[in-house]
Amino acid sequence: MARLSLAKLERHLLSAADRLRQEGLDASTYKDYIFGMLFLKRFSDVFEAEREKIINEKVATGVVQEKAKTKYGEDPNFYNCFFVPECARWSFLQDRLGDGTQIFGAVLDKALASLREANRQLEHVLDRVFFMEMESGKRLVSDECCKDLTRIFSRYRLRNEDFQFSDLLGSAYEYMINNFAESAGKKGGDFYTPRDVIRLMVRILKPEVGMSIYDPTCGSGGMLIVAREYIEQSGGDPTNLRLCGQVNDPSAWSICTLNMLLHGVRGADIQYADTLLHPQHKDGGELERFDRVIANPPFSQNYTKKDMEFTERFRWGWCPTSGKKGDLMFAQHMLAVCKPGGMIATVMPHGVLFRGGEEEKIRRKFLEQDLIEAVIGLPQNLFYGAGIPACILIMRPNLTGQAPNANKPADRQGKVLFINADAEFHAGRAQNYLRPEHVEKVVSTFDRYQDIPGYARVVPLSEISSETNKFNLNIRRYVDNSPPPEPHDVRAHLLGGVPVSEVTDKRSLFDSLGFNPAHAFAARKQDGKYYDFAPALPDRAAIRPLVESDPGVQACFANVRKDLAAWWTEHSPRLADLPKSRALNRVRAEFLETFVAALLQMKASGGTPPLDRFKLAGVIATWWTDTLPDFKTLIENGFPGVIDGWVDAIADAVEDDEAAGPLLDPFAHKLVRRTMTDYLDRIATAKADVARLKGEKEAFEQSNAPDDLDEEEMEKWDYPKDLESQIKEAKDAIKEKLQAAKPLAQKLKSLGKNAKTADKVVAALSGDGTKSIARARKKGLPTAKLEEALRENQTVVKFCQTEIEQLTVQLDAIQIACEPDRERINAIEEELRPYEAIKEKLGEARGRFRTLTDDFVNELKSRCVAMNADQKRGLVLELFAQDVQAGLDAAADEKRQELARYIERLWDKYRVTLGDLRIGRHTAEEQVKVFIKTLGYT
Amino acid sequence: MSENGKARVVEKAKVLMGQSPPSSACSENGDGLPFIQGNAEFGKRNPFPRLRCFAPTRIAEACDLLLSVRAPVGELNQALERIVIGRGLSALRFEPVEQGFAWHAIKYAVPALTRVAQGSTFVAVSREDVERLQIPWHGEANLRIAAVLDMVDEAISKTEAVIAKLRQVRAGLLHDLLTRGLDKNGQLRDPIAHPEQFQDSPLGQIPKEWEVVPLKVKCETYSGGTPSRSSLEFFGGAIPWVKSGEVNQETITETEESLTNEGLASSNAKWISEGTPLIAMYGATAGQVSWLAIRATANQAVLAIVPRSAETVARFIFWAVRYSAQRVVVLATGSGQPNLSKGMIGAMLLALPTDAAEQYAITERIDGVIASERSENSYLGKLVHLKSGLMTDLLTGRVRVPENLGTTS
Repeated sequence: MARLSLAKLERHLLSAADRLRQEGLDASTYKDYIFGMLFLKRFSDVFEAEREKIINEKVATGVVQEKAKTKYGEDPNFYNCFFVPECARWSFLQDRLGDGTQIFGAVLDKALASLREANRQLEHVLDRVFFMEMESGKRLVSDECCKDLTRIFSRYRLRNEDFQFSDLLGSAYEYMINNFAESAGKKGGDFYTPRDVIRLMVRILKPEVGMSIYDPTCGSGGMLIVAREYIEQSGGDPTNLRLCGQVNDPSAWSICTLNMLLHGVRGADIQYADTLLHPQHKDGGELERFDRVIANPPFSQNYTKKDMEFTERFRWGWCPTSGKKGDLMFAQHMLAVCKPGGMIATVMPHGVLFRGGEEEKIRRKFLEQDLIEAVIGLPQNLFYGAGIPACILIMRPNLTGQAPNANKPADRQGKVLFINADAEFHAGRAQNYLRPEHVEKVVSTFDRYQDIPGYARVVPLSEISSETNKFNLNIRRYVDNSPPPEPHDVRAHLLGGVPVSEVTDKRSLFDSLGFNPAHAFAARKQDGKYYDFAPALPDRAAIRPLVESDPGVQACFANVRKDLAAWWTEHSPRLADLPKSRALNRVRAEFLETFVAALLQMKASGGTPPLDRFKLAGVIATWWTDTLPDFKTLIENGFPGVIDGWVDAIADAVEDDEAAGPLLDPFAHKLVRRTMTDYLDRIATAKADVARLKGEKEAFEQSNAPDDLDEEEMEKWDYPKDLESQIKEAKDAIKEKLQAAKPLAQKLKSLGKNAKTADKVVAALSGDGTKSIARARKKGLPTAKLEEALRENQTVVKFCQTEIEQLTVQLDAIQIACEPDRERINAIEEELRPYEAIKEKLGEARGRFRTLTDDFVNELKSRCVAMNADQKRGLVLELFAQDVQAGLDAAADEKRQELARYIERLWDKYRVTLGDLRIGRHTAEEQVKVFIKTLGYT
Repeated sequence: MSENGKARVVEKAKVLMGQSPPSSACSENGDGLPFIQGNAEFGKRNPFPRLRCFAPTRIAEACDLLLSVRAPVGELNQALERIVIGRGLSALRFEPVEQGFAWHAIKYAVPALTRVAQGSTFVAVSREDVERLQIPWHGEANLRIAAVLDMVDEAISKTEAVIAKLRQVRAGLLHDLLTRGLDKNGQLRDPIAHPEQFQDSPLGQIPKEWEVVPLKVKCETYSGGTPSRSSLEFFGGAIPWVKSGEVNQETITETEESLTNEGLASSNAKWISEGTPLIAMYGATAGQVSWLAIRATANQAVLAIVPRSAETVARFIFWAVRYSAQRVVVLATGSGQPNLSKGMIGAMLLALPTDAAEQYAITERIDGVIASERSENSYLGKLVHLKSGLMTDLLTGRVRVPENLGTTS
């Protein structure tokens, strides 16, 4: 069986959520049930695996099967995992599905309860999940829904070996938390911090093996999980980390505890209480101290001093309890529980940077004691339910209470680094996001602790405490990232020309792409201050093609590719070492550093680098994040495993193309594009045929609509259907007419019979046979009667003939009357013929498409199976390289677009002078005057 | 030739009602003809279709007039090429020579069309409504009427371009004047040819005759106030009262609200004399600067900036503050809307000539461009009115366009 991919598991969980949504529940309610089910299924599956193992081991040592099952298999002491009592096992639950005598919700609740009873660590974790929950006399989740959920969760087995990489379930769980947070709107932000922000903070804090990490407002525990993940990806052993969290919301506490369990984190210490009032992590009566303290405390809340413990934490000052100013209380708590050599990162609202009153006093003390290492301004709208921009404070404790703070690195003492990152983000639909490149830029800027104009500045405390700044930390005060005002050269506006200064201002942009400004601007003989637009630019539309096809720019792009290839050849073998080294972060760091260096130096090609350090680092950072699941698979299952994973993902995507949620396009997958091009072409042809024929069919159906239809009728209009009903009408008309002919035909028939009989008699009488008059006459018999009979019959014959003639005429007339209908039928059938042909072709194309797509996965599999290990390794590396190249190309192209846009802007500004405009206007104006005059107004 | 200078659309044009092709037949960069669904892709005169469609249902030809017939009704464009039209549009095909005139005629008649529009969710008009629409029609005079109206349109768009250009010139000039100043001959000083005429300052290079000082050294500042809103008798008097929301205009010549004498007396609002720069300190317009051209009062979010002596020219301060306000906004606290304070504005550094005469000279130059802009703007307004008058006169036939019109062009 194919291993579960992350995407597949995520969508599986989403489909369960959909089922609960049908019950009318919203995310904040149904999430508990999803997590409850997931929890039951997962622990049952893990337990079953363990149980099989235990029984097999015992049987192998000679224990009888039955005894092994009952004695050892049911003894919690033999288990390394959670012990699942029988009534909580998935097979037990499945057996009850068809049992009409029991309420299934109660069966589930009992399962959860017995699971809790059997495992003390699970106490309270699932207290909030009750499948029998009632609300206004009605079950919140119907019994049918409970059963459906069980059926849905039965679909996949969730043992460790079923996953593409080991932390897959944890990742899927986080995905669901994210999903719920997103749909919960404002409430979502209370327990979820976006992962990109957490990664940024963790990368700054750089936790190490063996450290203690603490989040005083841990929500769903993302900060702790990411910190652990960071250690793991650094090749370190994450099991001896001490992860501690406290959260003041029972629901978040459950989610967090489950999060730890599903990520396989043993021994995380997650507590439930108000951190400011009752910090729970104590060590011999004292507050425990941690190496890394990281948090996203709730913004701008009130707090209370009543029954507060450990008030000595707030030695820098007391914010007012009302007025929503609890922020710096959290910051102080964090400082108080941080080890002297430790480090703090906390999200804060901007208000703490500049507000007056007590907050100003606290801020001032923080600064005077040199506690703040960096202030990072984030883009707005990153957090769920909070549109306001936030910042991150990086701090280090200083027990001496005197500047400089010896716990800071020497070169950072007495300084604060301001990073103004509020303008660099990816704009989503409802939310903004930090892309890996944005995170990378902040982190590397922090690591380098240097000035970057318009982005970051190291500010000495003396400047912050100066008369102008008065300990105000408002970021823009120190790093203004607003773009400079657009220059307007008055002379160029009046007289034309492009100011040389505005071209030289952007010299680095031109140079970096190898674009010679002379290709776009012509120097003037007499005037060194202004250019003209070059003859190669007759109009604005010529700018883009000129830049794109410029030989210098082309060469630049070629050089970049050359250096990329050289770099890749040298460094890609490090990826092949990953299964051995497992040190993802080390390879990442090496890749970042060497890639940036290689593409800045461009030794292989000898060209000039088009991209700056941050753009380059962004390319690798983005690629790395996108490829990380593949790297994890690579570490665990090698190169063939990576290909298998891709094939599985592609197969999944092909299988269920109707399910909700974002999904990859299986046919656009890089593996497919690399190995299946010929096959794709065939699919594309079939698909295009289907689309075209479908379009033709629909167009035919919608064609010839009468003009007098209203909207609704227009929607329903179907031309062939209309034609067919017309055929039916015509046929009915014919039928009706023929109906009238029926008695006539019968009459005709009987008349014919009569005529025939009479005719026979006439023939017999008038002939010379035995019954003829002539014979009678010969014999001398009386003939009068016979002659009368003859006459009578002759009259009958004649009458019949006349009648027949008349009837025939009538019948013919009826047939003729039917003729127009028949012709109409023929004509309509003729009209329908192309439609029938389209339908037939469509059927064929659909069939072809279906066959091709049905065989697609098998074909792909067989092609992949045919490769040997070396080929697989080569293929994976080649496709990895392709992704890096695509990222680099996109970044370079962005730069090229920037150049084209700049030239276009100069064109828009200076191409036409005020004089030109006035002359043109004057001409139009004069013409208007002439017209007005001839109109006789003047 | 129609009677009374009028005609029904149906008599002069073929009307084609749009019909949307199946969505499966449309794509952003596929095969087929360009496709537009409705007026969302209308431009000023020509549409800019984003989709293409390979199973066209209704096709408009190049030059057809495209009239929107539902949600909204009455928007007009002209097709540049063969184009598939969706149900939101109709295509009107007049004789090719008449299309130019028809453009104006339909525009003139659109109000009548919108009057018959109906519908619950979307207003729409039917084919009959379009066909029955009465438009002006003057036979062979159509061409000449169109020529006149087209020319006025051209004059309008060219004037708009002149105004846009003047804005840019002003921006450039303001920058030059406020960084280089004017020498004795009234010429801009040149930092490249004559670096000796310049000195360094906290605000960068400035002329030697200039100084950099905090605003409060040269000007006093005061904010206004708002009387209690619950007392109706405080509002609606004869005293103009500027709210910070109004400090988004370059020049304030009238105010939305006014105070009574009692209102003025009951609040912190004070008289501000005409010819005073105002700056908004908070709210949506925070950091914006207006020139108060009348004697008025203001609310508490508006700060009046008044020169302390005749050696400081208020109008120069207006330009200098306007030019530098962004620098102060950067210092402002608050992340969404900035909050400025009297103190911050008072501490704002300004570069200004020590000589009031140079300050005057500089404001004169800027105001010269402003005057030019203003006259262009009123000229534009005039043209727009002229156009609407001409449309009525020419299209109703009240004024006949003589045949010799074409010969003079």
